[in-house]
Amino acid sequence: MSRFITIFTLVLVGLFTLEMLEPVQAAAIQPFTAWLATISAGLIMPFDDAVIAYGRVIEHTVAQFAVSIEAGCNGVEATIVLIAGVLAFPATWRQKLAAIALGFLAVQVMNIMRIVSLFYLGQWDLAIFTWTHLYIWPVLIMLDVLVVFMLYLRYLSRQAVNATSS
Amino acid sequence: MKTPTVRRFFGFVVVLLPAMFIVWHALGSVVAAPAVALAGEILQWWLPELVSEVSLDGTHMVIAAAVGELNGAILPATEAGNQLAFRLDTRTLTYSIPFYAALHFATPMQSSLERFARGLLILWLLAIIGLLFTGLKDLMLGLGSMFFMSSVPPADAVALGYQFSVLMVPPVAPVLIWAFEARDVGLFPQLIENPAQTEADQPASTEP
Repeated sequence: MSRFITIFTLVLVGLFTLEMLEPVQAAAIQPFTAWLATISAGLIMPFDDAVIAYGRVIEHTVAQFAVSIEAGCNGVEATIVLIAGVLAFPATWRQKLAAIALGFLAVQVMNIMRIVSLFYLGQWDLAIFTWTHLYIWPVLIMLDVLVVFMLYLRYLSRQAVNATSS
Repeated sequence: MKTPTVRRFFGFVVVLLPAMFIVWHALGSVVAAPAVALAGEILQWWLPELVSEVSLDGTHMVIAAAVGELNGAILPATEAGNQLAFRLDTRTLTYSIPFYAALHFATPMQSSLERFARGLLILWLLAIIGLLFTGLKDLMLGLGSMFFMSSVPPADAVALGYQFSVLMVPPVAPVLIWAFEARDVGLFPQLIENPAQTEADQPASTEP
């Protein structure tokens, strides 16, 4: 267990520090966040033609409400947690990469649900928006990571049992 | 004690989460009070020239600075004739507690309350660290160069510590503490107990 904790902590802190570096933010994180805003707006637009997106901002032109997707709202931190967990646990590199790729998808699907839900909650009630944004969604996103990780562990466990019995 | 299936476990978590958040919300300042009291003592002892008083206003920690502002300049409060104050939302850190409670009580385990208390204590200690970094960040942004005249960490360390304490610790710490406390429950096949065994069990084609 100490091995798992050590690798997990090192990867977590290392990747998080890397993410916070200004060049990484400029070259990767902010363009990715802007892309996320565009995707979210693209999903909303067919149902609501008053929505526009520019940079990291999604705006409702009729309700005069806009959200800006910032650090902590782009799912990158949740993905870092997943990567740290997957890398800390013994498996083949193919298994690890597949888990990270599928986990990243799962986190981003959940994150787009977060962005869209917050966009409409904010137009309805700012207090509920704040509560949901700051306290509820981070928990749901982390729960999503935990689901992915536990399914991954179960898959690995079954693979190991199959390999032993064959 | 019976080992829950993964599906059953997450079902319980989803049911318990709203209840735990309602309790956490209803308790209000009670949840934050121990962490604020200790973080306040530390800040006043560490930076007496910058922090004059720390109090709890609802669920907000209020840092009253020992300095004020006059015509754009930061001066000692006696010279400025006013005092700057910073309000920190403690809930951005303590929401880890209802999350941890939901994970914990969704898992049947022996000495459950004792283990929960242990986890709670760790989360409070982490909340104190989070409050310290948030306080340092607010003082740094609010007081500018005067902040760095005191014995404080470099700006980058404050920024990174703040970001890590707010973005990473509250959602991740409950999961790690719960995983540790529930290591003997059987939800993690081979994970916690013997990862080396799992590695050895991998197929022969396993890559390095």
